Amino acid sequence: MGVGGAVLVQRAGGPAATAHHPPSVTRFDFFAGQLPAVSPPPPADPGGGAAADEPAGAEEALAAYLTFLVDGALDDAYRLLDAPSRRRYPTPGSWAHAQADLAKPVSFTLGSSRPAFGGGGDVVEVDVEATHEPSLDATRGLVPARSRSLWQVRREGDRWRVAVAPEGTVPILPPDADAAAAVRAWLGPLQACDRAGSAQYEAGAYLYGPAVLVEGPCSRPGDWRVGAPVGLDRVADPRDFLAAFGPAVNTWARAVPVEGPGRPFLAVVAPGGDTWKVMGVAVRT
Amino acid sequence: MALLGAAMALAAVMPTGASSHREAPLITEDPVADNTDVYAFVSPDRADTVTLIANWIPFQEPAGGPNFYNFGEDVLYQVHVDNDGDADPDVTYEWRFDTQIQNPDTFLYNTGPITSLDDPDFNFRQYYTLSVIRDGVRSVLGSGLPVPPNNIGPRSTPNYSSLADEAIVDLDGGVKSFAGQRDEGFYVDIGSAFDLLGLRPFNPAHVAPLPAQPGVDGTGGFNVHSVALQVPKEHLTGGGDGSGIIGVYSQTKRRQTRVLSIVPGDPAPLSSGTFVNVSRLANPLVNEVVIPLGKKDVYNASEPSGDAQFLPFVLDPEPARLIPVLYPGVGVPAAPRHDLATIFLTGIPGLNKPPSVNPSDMIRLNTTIDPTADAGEGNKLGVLGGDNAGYPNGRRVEDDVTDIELRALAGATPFTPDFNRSPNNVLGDGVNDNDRAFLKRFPYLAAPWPGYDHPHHKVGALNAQPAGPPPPPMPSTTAGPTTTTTTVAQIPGCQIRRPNVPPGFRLPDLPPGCVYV
Repeated sequence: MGVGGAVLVQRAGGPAATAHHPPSVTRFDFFAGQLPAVSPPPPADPGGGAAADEPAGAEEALAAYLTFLVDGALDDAYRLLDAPSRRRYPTPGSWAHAQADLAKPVSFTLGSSRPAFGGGGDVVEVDVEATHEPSLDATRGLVPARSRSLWQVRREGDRWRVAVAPEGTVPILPPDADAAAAVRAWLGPLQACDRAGSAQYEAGAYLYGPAVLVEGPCSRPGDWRVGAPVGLDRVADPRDFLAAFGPAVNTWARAVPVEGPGRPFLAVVAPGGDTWKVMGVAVRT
Repeated sequence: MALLGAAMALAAVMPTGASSHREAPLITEDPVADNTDVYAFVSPDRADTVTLIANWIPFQEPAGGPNFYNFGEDVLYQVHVDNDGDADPDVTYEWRFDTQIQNPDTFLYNTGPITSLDDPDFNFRQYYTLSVIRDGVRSVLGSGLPVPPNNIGPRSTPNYSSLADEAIVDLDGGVKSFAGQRDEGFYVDIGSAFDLLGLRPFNPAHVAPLPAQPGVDGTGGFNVHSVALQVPKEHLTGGGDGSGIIGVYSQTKRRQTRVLSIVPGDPAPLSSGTFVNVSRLANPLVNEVVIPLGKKDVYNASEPSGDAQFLPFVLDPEPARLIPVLYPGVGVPAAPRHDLATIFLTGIPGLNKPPSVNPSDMIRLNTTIDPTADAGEGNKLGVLGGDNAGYPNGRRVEDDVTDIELRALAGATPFTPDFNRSPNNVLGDGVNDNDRAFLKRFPYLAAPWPGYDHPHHKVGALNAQPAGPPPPPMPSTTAGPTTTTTTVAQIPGCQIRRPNVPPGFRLPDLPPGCVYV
């Protein structure tokens, strides 16, 4: 015990600190040898590969990357990621887990390509049209059945490497005219108070918006009609949808007016493959 | 008094902190995303399952109406499990919340007593979707799952436990889920800890001494918002390294861009872009006091697989360097502290270290070790107390992680036998239990304090009403934190040896009557 401690003990008038308590661990058979030094893991593979496997150009690199994704060859796809993407996903394991947040292509077609503005010839933009297994969830957002997207491929040394996700994606939507029919189909079982039946026309297990609105067609039987679809920007209070999916929802969701003997409302639909599906309801002003 | 006297004689303390409450500059501005604690333990009443709990929104004053506290709709809440030691997540549970206001034309959170979760008087409701990611595929485990209301008071939530029980849902595969307000289960004398790293029972030993006092539960009387999940062990260990040892950590994410509206009639902000990390938590204390200020936000934004960047701070932790300054003469092991790196980053060989491990901050739980006691009844010192089912083998709600980590930092473990002795192995903040009893069953954390009646309303003279007839007696459910009213002025004269301090370190002002010599 140091002098400071002794001074304090004396001032406090307590007994001298001579007692030695037994070790606090009594039951666990601790590792007996010397602890191994804890050191960082070796640096990750910088993304090499035999030169013969190297894609010859930007388009070839992107085609190889997307082919690996289609085939589920994630380790091979990871090898073709560019440096910024590898910083975001520093290990193949983190990359594999992150597939839940990315839109896996089922098939793809490369379109035209061009040098990216400001890229000095080392960055190439490539148009891609792809098909996906469609889905909708509040983390990944919309995965459309079909999309057009713009990918960037950059030169890193003597190799071409691909950005983890496209710069922009435009979903190819079902015709707007089909939205009213989708809501009409959903309303049918709803009017018969058959929630299980109406659920098959819904985009997910959870409907966004005030649930009380959905009860109207069941509790107030009569002639319920649907109108022509409008953009989500016409919804008076779209916060539920914006909070869940961000402003991108404005580009791919549609609102279909529903009116009848009860309170009128808007059925909000999202692309569910090649058809529209109901994802929620909103107050109609 | 004898106990206090002995405590004074120990003359040794170590710094501590809240588990992860307001632990980094950026996250202090975002309470709904501020992850405060993570727990992972084999369920005492369902030993074939593991319970995972994570808390957010620190220091909830229970009376904080009229809007009270809610999960963030624009926040992604996650608990990750690494089952092969590579520091990458293998299983991820995710929570997204949606708010549904039944009647926007009233200011009231509820328009009458809430007697069930579908009570029409329950105005401000939240629902959640629970998903799991395995093998890069997200599956929805449940959606539209209800969150119980905040515990408001006897008029609004007259039978709160019943309401909360309604929100415990059984999902397919033997999974049990709960999300909602709970009592803050982490107990610590945070008020003293962040007053230049003091511990009240050892106040006289501090370089700026004060009279010894019992510890004060600085998080007592507050609530948090919790997500709790109980899942069969094989859901977490399946596909792993076969050891049954898992690493658990939580993350909170927000979308990359948030734009405030310039439209007065539509003030809601817009969030867009990919989800990015804003909070990360595993072992209590690590980001709190081991990671320096300049790196705390980096820690929150980073992944465990990149924790090599923080290894130097664990091997040579700042708290250890401060001890000789604040507590002259007290010895702790010299750097590099491979003992701490073992406890915090790799797991302990033979207990909870995976066969192959990438050092990273995770709560490592050996799921093959059976519970040793009913929930809330385990030895609060965990492994240090001879109870291998407790921290740092996982973390149970009752574990006194503050005292455990204090002693570990002081070297009071068999890894550093020269320091596994008094006073190092009896350190503590003087707070040895939670202010509310833990439940014996899921979700284990106690019911939240009601806004109408909680310890923060019982602080005595500060709230005394000088005029008028005496109020009727209040029904009291618990005692508030115990405090002693000794003041600085009562300290007798003293002399404090001036310690050697690093350049730029300002010694604290001493109380009246004390001088540096």
